[in-house]
Amino acid sequence: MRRIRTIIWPTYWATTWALVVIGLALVAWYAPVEREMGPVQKVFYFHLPVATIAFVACFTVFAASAAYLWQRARVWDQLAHAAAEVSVLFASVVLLTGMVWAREAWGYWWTWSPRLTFSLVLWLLYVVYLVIRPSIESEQRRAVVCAVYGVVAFLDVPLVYFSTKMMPDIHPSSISLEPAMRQTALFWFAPVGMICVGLIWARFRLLRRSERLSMPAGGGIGRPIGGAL
Amino acid sequence: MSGEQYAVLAYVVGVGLVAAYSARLLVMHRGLRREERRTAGELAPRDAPVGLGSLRVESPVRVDVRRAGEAAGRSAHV
Repeated sequence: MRRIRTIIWPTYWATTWALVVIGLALVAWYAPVEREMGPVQKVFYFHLPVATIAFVACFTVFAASAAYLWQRARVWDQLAHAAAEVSVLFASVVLLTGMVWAREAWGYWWTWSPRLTFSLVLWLLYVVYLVIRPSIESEQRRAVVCAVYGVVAFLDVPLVYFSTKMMPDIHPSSISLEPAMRQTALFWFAPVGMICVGLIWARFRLLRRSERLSMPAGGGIGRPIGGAL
Repeated sequence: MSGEQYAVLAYVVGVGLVAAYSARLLVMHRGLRREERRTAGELAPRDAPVGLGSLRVESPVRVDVRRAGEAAGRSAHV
């Protein structure tokens, strides 16, 4: 564990941020400027991976919540909590970068199109998840309520994804890219994915450690994985 | 603003938010680490008197709040 803290973890974050810098360099100098939209199209290389990885974070909340309802082990509740925070972060980045792009491409910051509306609902759902957590005092009850909520909230993800395919929408549903553009967009999945995994893991570890600190000596409030129901 | 400036703004906002959240986790990590060391006995407890060892209070100190308040020229409520 000490080795993870002193060697692997700093190396992981150094690699991640180095990839972010390389990604920014690719956006600035490697990817060509798109003919119709101009330089603002370059927002896409960051916006698309963050939006896709946000779904992964939301799925983590869903899977961990379902696992909690199945096993009633506190680790799943803590993992769902950590992933929900990262989901809110990523959804915020998606909304904000999208708004900046829309201001230049469409001429306005926001419009109530299906994709944008469902994305805003997704962000709100996970914000509410984080708001209701501290409002429930009983730990057992909080974990159950949040697990049920975490499963239900995920229902909005398919709506966000399929909204542009099923309904008329101003938001682009597919874009044809030149090889250099595609490579840049694909490259960004690496740092964004690593950031997502790293942040969820870091937050999860913090939650575990703070729980261990608050536990009375020799006792615990949670049950280990696989414990009897 | 030009298209280039909007693109820069989007990256600054996006990467900035992620960096801010990472920094928040780092601060929480440091706070927890301090708390863990304190629990393990490596650090003095949070409510330990300043200068423990050199300044020692032999008996509990009593403070008459009412008298202190009156001395300060206002009524004291406890």
